[in-house]
Amino acid sequence: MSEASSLDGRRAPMDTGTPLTPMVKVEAVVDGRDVPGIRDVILEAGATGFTSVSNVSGFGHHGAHQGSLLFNDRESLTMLITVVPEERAGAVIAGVRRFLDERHGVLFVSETNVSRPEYFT
Amino acid sequence: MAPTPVSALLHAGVVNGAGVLVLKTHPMLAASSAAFVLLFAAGVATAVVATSIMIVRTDVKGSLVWSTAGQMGFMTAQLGAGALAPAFFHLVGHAMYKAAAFLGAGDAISARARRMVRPGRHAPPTLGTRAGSLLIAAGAVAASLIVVDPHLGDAALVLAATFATLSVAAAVSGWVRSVALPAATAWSAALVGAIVLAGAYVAGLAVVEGFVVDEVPFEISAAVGAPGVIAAIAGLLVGVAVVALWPGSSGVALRAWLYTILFRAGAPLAVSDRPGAVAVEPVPSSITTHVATGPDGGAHLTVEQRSRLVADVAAAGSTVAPSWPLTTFVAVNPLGAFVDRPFDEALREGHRWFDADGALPTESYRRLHRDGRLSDAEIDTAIVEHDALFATPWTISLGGNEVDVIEIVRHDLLHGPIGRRSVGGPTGSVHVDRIVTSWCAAFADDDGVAWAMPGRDRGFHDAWRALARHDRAFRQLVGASGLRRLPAVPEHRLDAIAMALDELDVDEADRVDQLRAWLLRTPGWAGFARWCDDWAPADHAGARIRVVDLIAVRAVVEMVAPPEYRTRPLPVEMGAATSRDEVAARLDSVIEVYGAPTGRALDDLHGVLGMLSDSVRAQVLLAAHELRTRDRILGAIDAAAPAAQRSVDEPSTDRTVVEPSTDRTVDDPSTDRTVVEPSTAGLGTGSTIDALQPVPDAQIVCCIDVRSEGLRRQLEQRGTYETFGFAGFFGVPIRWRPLGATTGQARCPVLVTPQHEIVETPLDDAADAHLRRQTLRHGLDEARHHTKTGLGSPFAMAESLGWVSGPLAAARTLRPGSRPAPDRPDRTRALVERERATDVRSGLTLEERTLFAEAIVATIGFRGFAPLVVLCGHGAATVNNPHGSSLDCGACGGAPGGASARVAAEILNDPAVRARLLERSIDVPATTVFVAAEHDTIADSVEFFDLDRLPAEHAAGLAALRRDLAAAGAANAADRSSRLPGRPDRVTRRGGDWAETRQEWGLAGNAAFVIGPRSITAGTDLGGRAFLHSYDAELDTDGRALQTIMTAPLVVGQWISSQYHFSTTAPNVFGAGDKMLHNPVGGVGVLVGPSGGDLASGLPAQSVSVGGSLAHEPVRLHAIIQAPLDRIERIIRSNDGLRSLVEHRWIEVVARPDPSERWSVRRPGGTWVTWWPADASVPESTRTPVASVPSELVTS
Repeated sequence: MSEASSLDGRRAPMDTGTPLTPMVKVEAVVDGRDVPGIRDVILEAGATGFTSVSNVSGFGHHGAHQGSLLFNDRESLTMLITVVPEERAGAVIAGVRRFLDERHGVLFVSETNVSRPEYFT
Repeated sequence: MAPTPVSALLHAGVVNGAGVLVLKTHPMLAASSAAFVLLFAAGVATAVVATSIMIVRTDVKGSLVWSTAGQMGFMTAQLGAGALAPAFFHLVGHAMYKAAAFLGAGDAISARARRMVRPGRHAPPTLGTRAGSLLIAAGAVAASLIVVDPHLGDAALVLAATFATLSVAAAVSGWVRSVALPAATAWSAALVGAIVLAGAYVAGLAVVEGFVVDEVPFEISAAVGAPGVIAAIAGLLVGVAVVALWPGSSGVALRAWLYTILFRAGAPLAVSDRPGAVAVEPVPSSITTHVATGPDGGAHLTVEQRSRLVADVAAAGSTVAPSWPLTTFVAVNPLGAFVDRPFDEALREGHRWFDADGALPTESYRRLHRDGRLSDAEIDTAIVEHDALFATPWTISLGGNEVDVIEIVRHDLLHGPIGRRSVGGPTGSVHVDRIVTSWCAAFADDDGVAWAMPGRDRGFHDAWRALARHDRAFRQLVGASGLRRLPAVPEHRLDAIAMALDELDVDEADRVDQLRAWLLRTPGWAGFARWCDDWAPADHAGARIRVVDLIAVRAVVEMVAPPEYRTRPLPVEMGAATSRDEVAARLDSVIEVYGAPTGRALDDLHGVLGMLSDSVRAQVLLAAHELRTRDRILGAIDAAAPAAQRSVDEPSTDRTVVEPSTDRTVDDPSTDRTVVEPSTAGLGTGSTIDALQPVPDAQIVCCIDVRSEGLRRQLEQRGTYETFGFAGFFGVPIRWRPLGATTGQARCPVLVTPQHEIVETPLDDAADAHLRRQTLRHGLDEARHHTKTGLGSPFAMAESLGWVSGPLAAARTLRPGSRPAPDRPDRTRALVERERATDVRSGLTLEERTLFAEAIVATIGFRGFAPLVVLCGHGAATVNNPHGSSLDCGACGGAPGGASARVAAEILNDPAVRARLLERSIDVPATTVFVAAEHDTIADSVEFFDLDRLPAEHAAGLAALRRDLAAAGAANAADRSSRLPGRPDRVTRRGGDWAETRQEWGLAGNAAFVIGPRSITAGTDLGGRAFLHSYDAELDTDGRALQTIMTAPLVVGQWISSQYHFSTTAPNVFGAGDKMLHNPVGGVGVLVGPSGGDLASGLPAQSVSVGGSLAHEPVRLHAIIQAPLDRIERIIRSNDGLRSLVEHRWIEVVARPDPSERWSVRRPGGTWVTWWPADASVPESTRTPVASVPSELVTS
């Protein structure tokens, strides 16, 4: 990855033939019970929306996490994904990190590009 | 229910004393015209003020109280105007009306539930509706007065005509606005209704007057004649119009001011009795200097700071468990936020944050021991398991003897002095609590009071801020300097919270604790707020108090109030906080019995006693009681099994088992117990499949609810029936929209969000009658509601309706109904198939239906199908019972399970679904029919649904089954009656009795959750103490069914267990108090007593105890599972939530792979220890039933 792709610096949009706008993607995997808390953080920080994938499974710090429970979509892990302009990323990240000081979960931040920036601002 | 007989007596009888006095002494009063003018003026003033307060009250009893005051004012005005006979008519009529209203106050929640499903058109009345209603009412009243002519004098005539017109007009308006009928029909019906109402009123007045004419004259000439009355009424009308219609922002301000004055007048709070300094110190201005202030004087948060604060608020909010509105009671673990830590530690947090105990008072366990219901051996085992210090035998030298340390600890537990209980929870001011809770109650009106809190659409904090400075209690609390500071507090809730935190100098690291402390001063409303934030359905139309708003309101109050009102979290408690004096006293007690310590024994003794604080001692005793309960249940199960299965050697009698610290140990050499590490030993699939059983006449699938156990046991004894236990929503998570309802409601565990709505549709015209009844009932409900809550309309209504409702109330008391008739339509069908492919929310596709069908069959574990398979949900029909939904099916989200059973039966009977099932190797014979039913757990009767579909060849089988079910129900009821107080012959009729506070015991018996085939519990009387979930490990080759059971029904069972547990051990925080004092508020819950306070959460005292005895024995849920241990272990390890519950011992797991092996107890870390009863004398010898409910446990 080039130097220009750090969150602080400006970064050229990916060359895909059509113009794309750089954005920051924040993904958090949390306990289903904590989804409302993270949702509040994301929305209060100025995100215009989010995607929620419930019943995700995997293996990590706390051992294995089984997905797809038949009659319990509150207690398994959920992945929340939001995409924000760089100027709002700091607020989202600060909030989610703070929340994860108290609760279990992981946070991923990455660069991404979107085709309709007006959806995210 | 919430009958409040004392209030009924006061409001019906005592308050009328003055009226009677005036009536009796009227000749004397007549000599003074001033007396009448005074009476009239006082009456009008009282009526206006009290009725105005009444229309802003959201709690049922508060509103009734002020309504009485208003009615008394009206009656006094009647007297002052000389209308003596009408006053008498009012006095008696209102007395009866109010008595009935108080006695039936508990119906408010079910009325709210009805309005939720069938909401009226709540549009404000148009001018046309108002004018039309008034015209019709005036015409009807005038006509009645002319036709009947009750010989009223002028003043009395004006009063009667005016207020009768207002009442009838309100009724007409309420009816026309809400009834779902064509306008012409609605208005015609309204006209007829108005004539009937007006006629009945005037006729009633005339008849009563006729009776009393010798004693009470119709009217005596008073100084306030008709002109005076007319002038007063006109003045009032102008006043109301001015307040209601004053335009612009000054009008808004006027109404905000008046609302607040009235609201606070109705809920007065005395702040003068606050402890400490009375003089209000001005807040030092320096406090605000380090807050960056913006143009509006508010703190400026950067976006990052704000974001972190939002996260902190969310983290603080997650400390409190959600509390569902009582319309759909859902049992929760009140300490659910702490299930990620060990149970003991969570109890400490419970004490720190909620002031809640997790075990009964030590004295209760000592009583159990004295009564022989807790043995020395059980206590010893609990001591050994409590701490590694006691795992190996050692002694202390006392009086020259070596005394076993266990014996010393046991002595201390049973006889050592008990210290004073330390108070937990955040420290703070009850005065601030009361201000906050009173506004919560004002805001949380879901039921449409006549004058709702202004600005509710802006959220709780903003609405409150707009009114706060008018609030007398708030002004008094914060003083003049506080009021001056208020405008400087930022308007935005987050900024306000940030400023408050800043002023309190709370470190960022301690912020969450401070936010928690603010929230948990009022845990009831905090729980409701948590529900609003996280669990309220998206289409929830009622009030939402957000956690952040609740915190913000409190933060603002405390920021501007003097410092002594501030809330602080309790510091973290440092393990065993036993004072030196307490240890010394307990030391003396030991020495007295065993003699003085010698050598270093004193130090040892100090060390041992010092680590056993009072709360730890209570927890050890709780553990001992849990061991006993577990042993009894396992013992009873084993005792019922064939003797061949019990070939394992009996245990030796020395010290009980201790688990090794390493995971790898297979045999523990220190004892003769076998410790099984899951992956190594004895984990085969167990016994071979039994020879095929004969096909039963019918299979009955009941809910896992502990109440099903009795019915199943009784039924099995009466024929060749096979019964199963399965979550009572039958695996179909749906929203159910009953016939005529405008909206559906979730009928599944709250862990699942239903994706599909199933609509009940009529089969033919038979349903029309039901729909007509519903429409009519709704219209009449609304008509009554509008009349009752209006400003001028309640007077004539109460005085006339009382003559009807009074005798009805008497009849209801003398001859209580048997079972409230469920208002269900005949001949309808659950529309299960999706009608339009594009309508993704309604109905189920064939693929979805097949998936559900497969899950049902696989999870229940059918080995074959009987000709008749009954899916039997359950519910409990009660009257006058705010907590009624707590007796319904928990798996259906606090609703009856019949609808879910119908949907599941439709799916399983569907030939297309069966064809698909066959492709998946599930062969449901064509001759097998699934039938839906519902068990009323109070009446112990079973009602069947959709029988018109039943093929004729099943009629005989069904008839036999119904006969046996009736007999089984009767036997079960007789069994239950021995545990309930009151007449045994009325046990099935308690639901219809409006004076009954204890309709049934609900799930109070719950102690264990058995997962396994019925064969392991069949024949054992479990006394309603176990959830029973069917499971057949041999059929579940990939373990998916077990995973589903352990991650959903078992988790829900744990919530229920915890709800009962903490409602019993911490009744003041997690219990809802005495039903007699319940005061339904806003349609969402109950307050205890008319003066408000925190919202009561959890179960009422009558649900867990009777008199001083407990009906619920608080013990942690024991999961008793028959399945390969490695499979259980794998499921526990791979599911976060479940692992947390098990590892931290919120659930104790006991299992065996098959009946030929002994039970093993799972220890944290995943080691399994062979089970032997702690007290070898207890189990297996006889087939005595497990300890039955209620116990002889007595609370202290």
